[in-house]
Amino acid sequence: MSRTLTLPAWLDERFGADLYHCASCNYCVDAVWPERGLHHVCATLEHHSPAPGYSGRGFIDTARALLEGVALDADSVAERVFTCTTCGNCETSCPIGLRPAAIGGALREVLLAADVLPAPVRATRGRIVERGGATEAVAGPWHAPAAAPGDSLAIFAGCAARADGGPATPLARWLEAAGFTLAWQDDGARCCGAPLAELGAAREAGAWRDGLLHDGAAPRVVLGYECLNHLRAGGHADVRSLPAWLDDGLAGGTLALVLRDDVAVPRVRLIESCQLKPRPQRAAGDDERRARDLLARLGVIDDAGAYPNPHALCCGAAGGMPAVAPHSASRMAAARLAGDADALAVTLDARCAAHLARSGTREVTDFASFLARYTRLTRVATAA
Amino acid sequence: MSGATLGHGLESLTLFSDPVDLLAYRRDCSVVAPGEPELVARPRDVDEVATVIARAGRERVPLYVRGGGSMYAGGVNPHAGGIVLDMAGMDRILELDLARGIVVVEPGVRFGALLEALAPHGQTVGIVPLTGPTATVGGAVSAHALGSGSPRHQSMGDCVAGLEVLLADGTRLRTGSAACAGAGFFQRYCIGPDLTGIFLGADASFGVVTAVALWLVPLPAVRDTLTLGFAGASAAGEFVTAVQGRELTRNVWYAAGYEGATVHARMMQAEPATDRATLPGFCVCFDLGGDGDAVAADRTRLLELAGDHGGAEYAPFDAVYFRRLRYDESYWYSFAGYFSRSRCAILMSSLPSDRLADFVATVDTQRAQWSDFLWGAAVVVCRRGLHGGVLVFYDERREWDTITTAVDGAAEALVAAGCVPYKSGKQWAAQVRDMHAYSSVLERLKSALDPAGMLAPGNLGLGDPGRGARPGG
Repeated sequence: MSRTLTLPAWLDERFGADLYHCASCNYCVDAVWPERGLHHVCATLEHHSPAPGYSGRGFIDTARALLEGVALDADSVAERVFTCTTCGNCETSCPIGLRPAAIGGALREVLLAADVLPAPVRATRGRIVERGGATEAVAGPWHAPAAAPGDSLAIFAGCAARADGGPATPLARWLEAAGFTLAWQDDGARCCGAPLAELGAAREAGAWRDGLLHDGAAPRVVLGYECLNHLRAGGHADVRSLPAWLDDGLAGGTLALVLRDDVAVPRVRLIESCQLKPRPQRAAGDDERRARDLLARLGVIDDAGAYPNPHALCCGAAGGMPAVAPHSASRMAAARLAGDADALAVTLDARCAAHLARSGTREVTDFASFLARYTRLTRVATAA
Repeated sequence: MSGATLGHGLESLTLFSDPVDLLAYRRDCSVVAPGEPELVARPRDVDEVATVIARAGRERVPLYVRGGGSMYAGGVNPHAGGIVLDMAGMDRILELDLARGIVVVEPGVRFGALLEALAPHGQTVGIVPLTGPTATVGGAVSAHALGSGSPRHQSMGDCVAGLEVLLADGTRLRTGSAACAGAGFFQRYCIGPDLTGIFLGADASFGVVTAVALWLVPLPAVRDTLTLGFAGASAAGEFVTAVQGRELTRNVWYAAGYEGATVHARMMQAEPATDRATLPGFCVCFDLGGDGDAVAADRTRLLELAGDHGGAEYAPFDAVYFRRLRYDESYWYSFAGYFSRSRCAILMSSLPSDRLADFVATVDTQRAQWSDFLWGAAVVVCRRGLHGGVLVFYDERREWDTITTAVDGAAEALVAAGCVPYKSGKQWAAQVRDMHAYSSVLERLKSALDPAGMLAPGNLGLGDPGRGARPGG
């Protein structure tokens, strides 16, 4: 027997203007405009189903219909709303600045509150709660407490970076080789709640975040971008990304970075991450540009002009897509990796890198791992 | 009949029958009432289109055809229910023949994708709708594309070299030179009358377009914009008439005129310190393209001719509006957020250039009568004549009933003022039925090509108009 859904008043209050300003232009469904970097908009429509209920416009239409009393099957709504990568392309392509992705997120909140969840989402949420994070954390030297007072660098790795094969361990060795003493903002396996927020559990995710930072010791450098965005959304404005920290150090003359001369350094092809797209409350709006410029200065990329594309299609790592629709998520990954097979695919976000690597079509690594493997960092003594 | 029942036997096709998915197929961008489809089929090739047509015929259910859904006349709104054919999945470029100067595409190809494919060859097409990133070629030719006329290229239909169309009985027709087996598309006309024209602007009333041949045009070496200000619509109308009479349009790819209220609103939004007394009463704007010397020469001649009619260059409006409109294609939608209302109704008609002042006066009358709405008037300049656009901004949540009444009233007033229904779809259905001889021929064509009235009933005022619904709920 089908269930129906009633939307709470807060959704209308928060998004009512969006629902009635939509001009049905369909930019968020499909649009091609090369000069703007738009070459189709929605990875879910391209690789899962072309049904418009999965699109940003679909979320707007659905929310409006529900607010106006149309009886829609709640399970159908849930299946569509949770089969979204939450990449935000529908918002960055909207010509009048509407927020279909945020409306999709709000619908996730409503569905969660009504306990209408697709089975894979329910299972994923259960696993996150049970083990305290999105992935199994790997023990290693990197999460030992700071060895000495006067820590020079505080780091929050995040679930994806701590996972097996993630960048936390090699990055720690790379930084320590440069003379940094690391203070890992980590109790061993604490999650900031970002994966729960993606699944619509905003309040629960906020509690995890607040619990993590209860001692007021905000981490300074965050490796995972979903973590970084979640922490920033919670008011922690002082957190920074690795590219920003590194680029500032290089620009300020306190750090020096060179390619290692004892390994063959491949040519790099950068892959955009949705978590870095310019959206409200996101800290890392220019990280991709900074990373691109840094790698260009090192001379390892030759397609710097094409990156980043603010409308690049999602690789399928985010939003719960790998759990909800694993085959579609794999197709998204394969599509992102197509072409330029001779170059090493590098993406700034560890979760994207892990997902792309699972597609098995080519070698992929994350930015931090690339740095750790192919570069040497040194601290530059400055006059006091 | 339920969508699931209608879909029995069509399982190999991509079908949507879940009500959540059907919401997006209820309407286009217009204030024409939404419809309620039972099933959507998204064919991948012409054989699948034929399968759906045959099924609709057997079940005697209506069949509507949709491209990008960005039109403003309700042609895709399924008022009589039934099946919607979503042609966006047929998005292949079938043939690019540089020697013949022809590109043949499936109807779901978006203009953005087409231009991307043509650019490396130094080619483009004559008219690109302002909704180009999402608009499909099939939708544009079927609905005669948003009044996006051109002084150089006239109208969307004039850019079409031929069509492939599936008729209601399954006949697969190729028009123009391609009617002759093996000849292919290179001429709009075969022996006898222009069969291509029957299907242009028909919104699938007579057949389903499954391929479109467009003439290629070399990309211009230089582009430039020019905005001229005039005291009012009368002077601007005389100027435009003179421009067209002197054929000063050979390098003008797009030109548009904006009444004083629109110029005022745009300027005061962008430059609040602007001295209102300096604002023109009407602006005519040109997007020129060609080789550098020719563009520069035409620019000079346009400025001289404007001076003869009391006009002069007005660069501020070019900077804050027209240049952005032409160089940033998604800027078209800036109107929706620009005013405080939620949506915009657009009513397109045609008029002779010397009636520009009457057109603006008619809009002024409507503005006074329906002062709750925000009204704007603009024209698109063609090689001959104008397409007149009336824009009415409204709040869809509160004003749905009155906006439809107001727009219907404006349509009547425009015809009374000498304007001609231009857009197809359902917006002008009442006025088309009043054109008795014309309407009678349309009805006879319909009877011959679609005797069961299956295809897009209600469009062009033909067949059972069905009933619309309210948007959203």
